[in-house]
This record gives sequence, structure tokens and C-alpha cells, in this order.
Amino acid sequence: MLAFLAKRVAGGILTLFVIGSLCFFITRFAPGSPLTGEKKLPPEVLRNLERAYNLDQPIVTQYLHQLKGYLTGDFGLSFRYLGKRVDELIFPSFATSVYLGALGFCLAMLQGVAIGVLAAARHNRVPDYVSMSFALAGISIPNFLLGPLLVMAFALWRQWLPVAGWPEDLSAGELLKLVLPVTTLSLVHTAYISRLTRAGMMDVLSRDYIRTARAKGLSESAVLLRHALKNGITPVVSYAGPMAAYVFTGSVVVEKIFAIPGMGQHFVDSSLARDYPMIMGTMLVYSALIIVFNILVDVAYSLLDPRVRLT
Amino acid sequence: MTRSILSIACATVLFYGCGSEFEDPGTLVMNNNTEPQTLDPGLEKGQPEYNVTINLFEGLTTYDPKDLTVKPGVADSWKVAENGTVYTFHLRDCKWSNGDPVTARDFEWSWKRVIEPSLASEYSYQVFTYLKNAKAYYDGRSVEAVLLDWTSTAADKKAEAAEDLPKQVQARHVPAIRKALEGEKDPKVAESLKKALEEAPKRKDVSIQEVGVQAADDRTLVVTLENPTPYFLDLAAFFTYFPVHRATVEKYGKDWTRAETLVGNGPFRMKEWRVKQHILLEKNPNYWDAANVALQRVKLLAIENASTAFNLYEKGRIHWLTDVPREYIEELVKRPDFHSGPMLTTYFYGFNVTKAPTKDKKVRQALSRAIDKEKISRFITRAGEKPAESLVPPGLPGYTPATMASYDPDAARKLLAEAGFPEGKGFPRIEILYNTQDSHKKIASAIQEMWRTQLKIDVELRNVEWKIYLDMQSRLEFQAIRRAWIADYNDPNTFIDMFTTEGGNNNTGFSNPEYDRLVHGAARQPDPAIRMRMLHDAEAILMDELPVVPIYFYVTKNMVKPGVTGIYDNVRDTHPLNRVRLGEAGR
Amino acid sequence: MELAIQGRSPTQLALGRFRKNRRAWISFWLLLVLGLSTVVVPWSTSHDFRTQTLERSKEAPNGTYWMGTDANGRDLMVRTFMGGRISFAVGLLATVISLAIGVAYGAIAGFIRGKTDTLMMRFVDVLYGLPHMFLVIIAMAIFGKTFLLVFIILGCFSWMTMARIVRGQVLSLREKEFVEAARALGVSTGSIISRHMIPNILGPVIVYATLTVPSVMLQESFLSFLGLGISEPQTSWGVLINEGANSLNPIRVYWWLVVFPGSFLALTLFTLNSVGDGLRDAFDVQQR
Repeated sequence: MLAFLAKRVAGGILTLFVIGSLCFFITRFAPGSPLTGEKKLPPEVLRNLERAYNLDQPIVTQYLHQLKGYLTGDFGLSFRYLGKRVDELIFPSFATSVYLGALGFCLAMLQGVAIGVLAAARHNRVPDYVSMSFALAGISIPNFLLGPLLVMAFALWRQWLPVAGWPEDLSAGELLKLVLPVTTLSLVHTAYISRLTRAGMMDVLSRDYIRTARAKGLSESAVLLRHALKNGITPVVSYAGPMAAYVFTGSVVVEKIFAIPGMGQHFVDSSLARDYPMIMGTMLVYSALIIVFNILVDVAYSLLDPRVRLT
Repeated sequence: MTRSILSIACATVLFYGCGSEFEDPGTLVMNNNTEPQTLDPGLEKGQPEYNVTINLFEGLTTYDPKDLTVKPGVADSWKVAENGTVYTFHLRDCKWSNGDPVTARDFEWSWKRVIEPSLASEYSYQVFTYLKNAKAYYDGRSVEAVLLDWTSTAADKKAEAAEDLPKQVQARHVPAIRKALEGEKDPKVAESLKKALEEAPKRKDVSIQEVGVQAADDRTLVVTLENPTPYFLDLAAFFTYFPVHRATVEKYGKDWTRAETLVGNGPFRMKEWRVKQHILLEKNPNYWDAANVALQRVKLLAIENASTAFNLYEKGRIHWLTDVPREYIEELVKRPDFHSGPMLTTYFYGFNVTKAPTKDKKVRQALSRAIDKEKISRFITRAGEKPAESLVPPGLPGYTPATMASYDPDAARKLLAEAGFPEGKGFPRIEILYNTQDSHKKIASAIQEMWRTQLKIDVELRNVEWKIYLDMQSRLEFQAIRRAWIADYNDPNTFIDMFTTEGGNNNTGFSNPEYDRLVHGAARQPDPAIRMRMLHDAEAILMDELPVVPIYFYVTKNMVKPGVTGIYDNVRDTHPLNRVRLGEAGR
Repeated sequence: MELAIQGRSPTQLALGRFRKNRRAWISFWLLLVLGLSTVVVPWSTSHDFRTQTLERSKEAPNGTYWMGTDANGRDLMVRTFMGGRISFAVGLLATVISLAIGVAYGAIAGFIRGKTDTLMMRFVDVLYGLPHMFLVIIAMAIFGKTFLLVFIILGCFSWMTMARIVRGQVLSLREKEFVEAARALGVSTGSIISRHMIPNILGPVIVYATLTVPSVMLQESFLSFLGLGISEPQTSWGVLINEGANSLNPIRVYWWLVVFPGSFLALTLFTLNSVGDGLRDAFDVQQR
């Protein structure tokens, strides 16, 4: 196991390096410059700006300069938020996204698996139809519609919950701000997971060893949870990797609707503003997260199905 | 399952128990629409930044919140001499937020700081265009910086820089140019360098002492302008002309604007700055007029989604919105807490004057006269905007805008026929370019449809994101493009000097020698009446040639909770907070 | 003597099972009707999807406009159906592309394992990590704004998760006895992958494919929203719902802007998923 982890981590670092480098060149070749604005600048001013941001140097020099910075832990200054360092902008927003994402992820997994197992166990009967219909509803409503609907229903019409914002402390009133965004964020994933679980479980439940377990007289819940679930949730585990990264880096839509200072907004805004250092920063954090989750997924596979050997 | 129901029940009870409408009575909560990019007055460039710095700093002059007339700020009196080129400001006795006295030397240092190329200030032109010798100084320093980095600069950038060198060099640059010329392999660049070498000895050096701002003593500032500028007092209140605290900037460098270290001379000081969440300001006891500042604290939020901000306003968590959602603005306009007034901003469409079919004046006139601006303001923008028949909005004292011919689809069809496209036959497909935003889409869609039904021509819409839009605009890669212009100061010149031949913000290819003559002449004209006349004549040319067609004039859109006073509608939507009172809304 | 009983192929057997599944069968026809209606209805109505009557913008459903009008005074009904055309086209085509690439890629990686697998999956990781928006921006800048490009781009973003799921399934299946048996018999790797593994992974793959279609439909609206997808006056369900959602407010509810396109999208996705479920149940070799 340790050898496996070491190999994957090393591979991960290499991948990050490739991603970072590709990202660097792609962003600089894309049309649009960080320095253009509504009012055109006199050419002398523009040139001075380029010099200040090192944009007048040959691209390879810029690349090496950036690389040196990253190796020494200096992620550079944002082009857009003048004077602010990339790390001090990204990491607090990352923390926010992680909290939001963790809640959303756990909720989606727990609810989704539970519903999927129920549906598979009561296959083609009422609970199956009801839960799958609910799952379909979850997938059919885009989150940019669900969010405002939930806000209208539960925050404006019935004033039970806060309209928007991120908790500023741990009081109950502040923590209620989490309910709507987490629900909006996790609903679609709950739906996906419940369907994947159901499919996986149904595959497994028809196999011989399950028949054997039932014949041995084991209770239904033991059969489901102890024997079937481990194999039934492999498709969910595959899905969990990218899903987690997506959920954790913050859905831009949910952040915009609920005014949550997460990383998703930095993602989109820095791309649109051509804020190169921020784009690099957010990209690398996002990629690192995906790599970590994929490693966890592979580990999970091997734990669930001992026949799968970790290479 | 039971557990989750129970926990929700508890939470609801707690919520009802401990929720109060405001965390803190006495704090004005407003939405600033987006996170400010910087709070350094020398570097800032937009409204969200200005909404904060207007309260942290104060210039020589300030604006009256009601009508934006110039009022004394740090300077309590001034004298103008030499036909409007020399201003002598007398500063009052006032302090920075840390107790240090504000002196004329602070202003001198701050303005000179802005014109140092190393600061990389985008608005440096706002200072060096007007102060005597400032541009020459800026150019000289820029040349030094260019030549210093010569060997490490990329080839294409070298070529660009070299082109401008001959115009900017001064005598002292000769050795540096020679050195750059030595290693230069590119023949075109070498050519430019040789020209620069010829020019350099002919121009004298301009040192920082020769720039037109001097502190005669601690409380007297003498400003010498390049040309008589009637709106200079207006400019002196502009954010680029704010003073900054020298010791703080020198000690902390790029970081000086943090809440813990920022020192300003305005009515408020910064208590807390949480990026993308809020900025908390509190009253500055060292402000010279602190006795008249009613607010204790101000919280500026950075919520970008207008609907979210509106919902928070409805629930009483925000007192003041400076922008409202466009999608249901017709409902908001009816409400008593909605305040609106005319604004010095024009929404217009630009045409590409260098390429067919918009190269033809008749085509532009046809297109322009087929736009029903009345319908657009009434049914699309819906906030009481006025259709625009001139580029310059009405209301500027002493100025009468020149108008274009009115909406007339029959006349438009005739013009199109005269241009060679009767019934739209043979008219090539054109594109309307706009930056991605829902309101622009609705207007572009309406105009597309108007051109299609009235003129029978084929029009496509193209929306691109902001940076690409800017690129395409400056490269003239469009036939028709959506644009807008906000006045920098209260004078028609801010709109009119855009369209001179070398105007950086022209972006249409329009070039008319008579127009240029009028605009440049007006800049040097000391008689205000004659000057206004010249500007009017220039606008008339514009409204006949129509490289741009104005659509509507913006209005300010503020929603303010009843009880909050001191916020007025003014043409630049600028709201200093000194006179704002929270009143009953704070309880 | 004639043979009274005719043998039927596995596919025919599967289709027979599909037909018996009432929910799936009805959904299949409903889906067909929906698809056809997006083609037929705009032809038969008197309203053009482009015509704007600005004075009558944002009107609730009434005699002239059965589904009301949008903010530019256009008939919402014809626009909803026109939008359906785009959404259907985008959803189906992009998913097909995603399936083709994803299944092949994932199966190969999962089966061969070892260095090839590691390399292939690292490549996917790298692709995941790249700024998608930038790639879209660059692609649009290079190739211009063609409709086809939208499909291709969307397909290219979805195949990666499909590949991961397929790889996961193949990794498990690989260890099974029937694979060992096939190997012992000397069946080639390619044959094992295509004739033995792929039919067995169809279950989750079909389900995920039917999950991809809505995802693609919504991604398309996000792209258009950013200015990188279809342009006016063309529209799609995603765009219509987006416009409707932005108009939601506590003062006056423009419900028709959301309800009509939203219901159509929901109904389409519902039927798609039912069909997908039905197909999976029908083709499932082990579920008897």
C-alpha cells in the first residue's frame, strides 16, 4: 500500500507540473490581455504596465520566472486584485468551498446511497418508483433554477431561512445560511448517486453469491449492507472522484446565487479577466484536488473488492 | 430520519429566537456590487473602488453630494491666475487618520508618484495630460525604463517600443540608446533607434522639479497646467488626485492598503477588509469635519448577483442598493424607495467606418434612423431612460447638444435605397457585436429585429466575453458594436474628444479633419462661450456622419430604505457618505 | 418438415423485454412525440420565433400567446419548441461522441492495466486539470463560431467521466472467471474487450449515458450564457430556463417563463431516463 501511495503521489506531482505548464502556455496564447479595459490606455502607459507585470519579456523567460516562484513557494501577485498575493486570495476561498463541498458531498452520498439501496431492494415496487422519480426530478431541474426557487419558497415567501450569505460565526442563525446552498448543491448529485447505486446494486443482487447468502438465512439488511453494498457501489465510487472535486471547488452558480465567497467564482472571474497568476493558482488547486480524490477512489476500489490489485 | 427532523425543528426555534434584523444598529449596510480591485487611489480605475476610496481619502476639492458642484475639500480657498494655467491652493489645517498633519508636500508627493512609470498606474494620464511638463517627464522616464530592460525584452515588444522612442527621448538618453543600438540585430528596430539617437540631443531633459506641482510651504500648493483647463477644479476632486500618506506607502510598499496599515484623510477609516465578503469602515475622528459626519460605521458588501442583493434588501439586511436587477425593474420603478435621476452616461452603437457596407454614410444614417429608441427605453430598459438623439447627454451647463435626424423608417428605407440597396436587396449580412450580458442581448435582439422588419436586411448577433470584446473593438473586427461611455468629468469634452482621429477610444475608424480642428481648438480656447460653440459644431458633424448612433441615456438606480437620508441622485452616481444619516432604518 | 419455431437473436429477445416494460415503452413513444413536436409545432404556428412585439413583452398566457411572451415580446410557445430542437440536437450528438470515445478509452485502459493504464489515466487527469473555459475560448477563436463546434466541445468534456466509470467496471470484471476462461481458450485481447467485457458493462454505462444527456444540455446553456454557445435569436431550453430563473422575484412572478421550458426539459429528461432504464433492464444478461 505504501509503495502504491508513494508512486501515485509522485505521479501526481508530475501531472501537476504538466498541467501547470500547459495551463501557462494556453492562457498566454488565448486571445485577450489582462491589461485591456473599457478606456483605452495611451501606448506609453500600456507599455509600462506590461513591464510591471513582466509581460514584455519572451514567453520562455516568463515561464521560468513563474516556475522559480512556484518552487520557492511564491505564487505571485494577482493582476486584478492589485497588491494581493495569489495564495492569500485563493486559500480562504478554498477553505469556504471545502466546507460547503464537504457538507454537500456527505449529504449527497448518504442520501443517494440510501435511496439507491432502497430502490434496488424494493425493485419495481412503489418505493423504487417513488425514489427514482424523485431522483429524476433532481436531475431535471438545473441548479440555476433550483436555487432561486428554494430561495423564493423558503426565504422570501415563508421566511424560515436566510436569503444568502456565508456564516460569519458559529451561531445557529448564521449556520442556517448553509441549508439552502448545500441543498441546491447536493440535490443533483443525490439524484445521480441514487441512480448509479441502484444500477450497481441491481447488478450485484442478481449474482450467485447473494443467492447463497440469502439461502443461508441471513437477514435482508445483512445481505444488502454487508455483502451487496461493497460491490454495488463501484460505479458510485468512480463517480465520486470527479464529483467531489467539482463539489469542493464550488459550483459557480450556487456561489453567485447565495453570495458565497468560494473558489468557483475565482475560477471563472480570473479566466474572464485574464488574471494569469490567479488562473494558474486556481487550476493547480483544482487539479491537485482531483488527483487526490482519484487516488482515494483507487484505494477505495481495492478495499471494496479485494480481487482488484493495486498496481 | 427522526434525528434530522428533530435537529431542523431545534434550528428553526433557535432561529426565531435569536434572529435580529441587523447585526449592529448604527451601521449602514450597502452593496458595492463587486470586490474592489485596489484601494490605492493612484492605481484605482473604477466605480466600485471609488465608492470606498471616496470615504477614505479627500482631495483638494470635493463634490457636493446633491449636484456635484465643486466644493472646498482639503483646500479651503484657491486663486486662479495666468489665464487659467496657474492655481494656488491654500490648505486648511487637517490631519491624517493617524494624527499626522496633512501638508501640501503630501499632495506634491502623491501626484508625482502617480506619474512615475514604475507605479504602473492606468490613470496616470489623468495627471500627466494636464500638469505642465508632466507628460515630458513621464515619457522621459518611460524611455529610461525601456532602455534599461532592452536585452531582456521580447522581440515584438522591442519593435513596438522602438517606434515610440523618437517621440519621447530626451538629451540624457543618448548613451543608453547607443548601447541598445550596439547589440541590435533587427534592421527595423535599429532604424528606429537611429532616429531616436538623432532626436535625443534636440530635446532637453525634464526633471521631476520641473513638473507643474510645487508645495510652496506646508499649506500652499502651486499647480501649473499645460493648457487652460476650465474643469481642473473638477479634476482635483478625482480619485487619481487624492493624497496618500508617504510614510505608510514607503514603509509597506504594495501592501499598504490593508485594514491594519491604511492611512487616509477622509471622513472614514478602514476597520476590516474581508475579500469578496465585506469592507467595514468606521468614522475617522481625525477628519476635519468629523463633527458633521453622522454615520458611525459603514459596511460595503461585494454581492455581484443583483437578485441576491435585492432579496437581502427586501429582508432588511441591506439598507442601500446602487444597482437593481434589470429583469423585473418595471416593478421596482413603481416603489417609493426607488430613486432615479439622469446620468452622464450614454449607451450607443458604433459602426465600422473603414469597411463596407458601413463605410457609406447613407448606410449608417439608414441604420440609425431605423432604430425606434422610444420603444427600447419604454419596453426593454424600462427604468425611465430617455432615448438619446445626441451623444452628449443634456444638462451640462452652458452646452446645447447637437442632435441627429429622428426615427423615421420611411426615410431610412429611402436612404438605404440611395446607397444602392433598395428593399435591402444585395445588402451583405452584418453582425452586431456585444459583450455578454443579458441587457445588451435584449437590446441587440430588438435592434436586429427592427433592422430586419424595417429595412429587410439580414443581421446576426454575436456575443463574446469581455476581453475578447475589447480586443475586437480595438481591432475594428465588427460592423456594428454595442458601447457605452461614462463621463469622467462634467464637461462635453469627455464625450467629444473620443472621436478625434488619434483618439484612443475612437474605435470606429472615423477621421474627419474639421472635427479634429474643432476639438483641438476647443482645448486651447480660453473663452468658454466660444469653446462650447466649437464643441457643439464638432458634435454636429458627428451626428451627421454617424460613426456612432446614440440609443439612450442612463439613469441612476438606487434603492434606499426609508429613514436613510443624505443620498441624492446626481449625474455621476457619486455618493460621498459624510452627510448620510441612518435615521430610523438603523433601529 | 418446416420449422415451426424460429430462433431469435439476443437483440430481438432484448427488444422484446423492452417492449414489455410499460414505463419504458410509453416513455419511448413520449420521447419520440416530444422530438417530433419540436420539428412540427414551429411550422404549424402562425407566430415566428423571431418576431418581437415589444409592447406585449412579458405577458402571461392568453388567447394570442398560448404560453405568454418573453422579455422581447416574442411568443414563448414557438420559442420553447425551437429551443427543443437545439437541446435535442446538442444532447444526443454530444452524448454519442462522448460514449464513443469514453467507452473505448476506458475499456482499453481498464483491461490492459499496468503502464498503459497509468499513462492513459494520467492523461485524463491532465485533461481534467486544464482550464476548460480557456480551451473553449481558444477553440472558438481558431475555428470560428460554428454550431458543430459546440457539440464537439461538449462531447469532449463528458467522455472523461465515462472513461473512468468504464475503467472501474472493467477493472472488476477483468478478474472474473469467464475472462480467465476466454483467455485460456486463446481469445485475443481485442475480442475479449469488445465481445465479452463491453456487453457486461452496459448497465452503468447506459445509465450514465442517459445522465450525460441532461448534463450536456445544461452545459450548453452555461456556454451560451458565457457567450460561447448558440447566439440569438436561436435559443435552447437551458437558455430559456436561465432567462426565466433570472426573472424570478418576490413581487411579480413571471411563472410562464420558467414553467413551460422547465416542464419540457424535465419531461424530456424523465423519458430519456426511463428509456435508459428500460434498455438496461432489457439487455442485462444476468438479470433473469
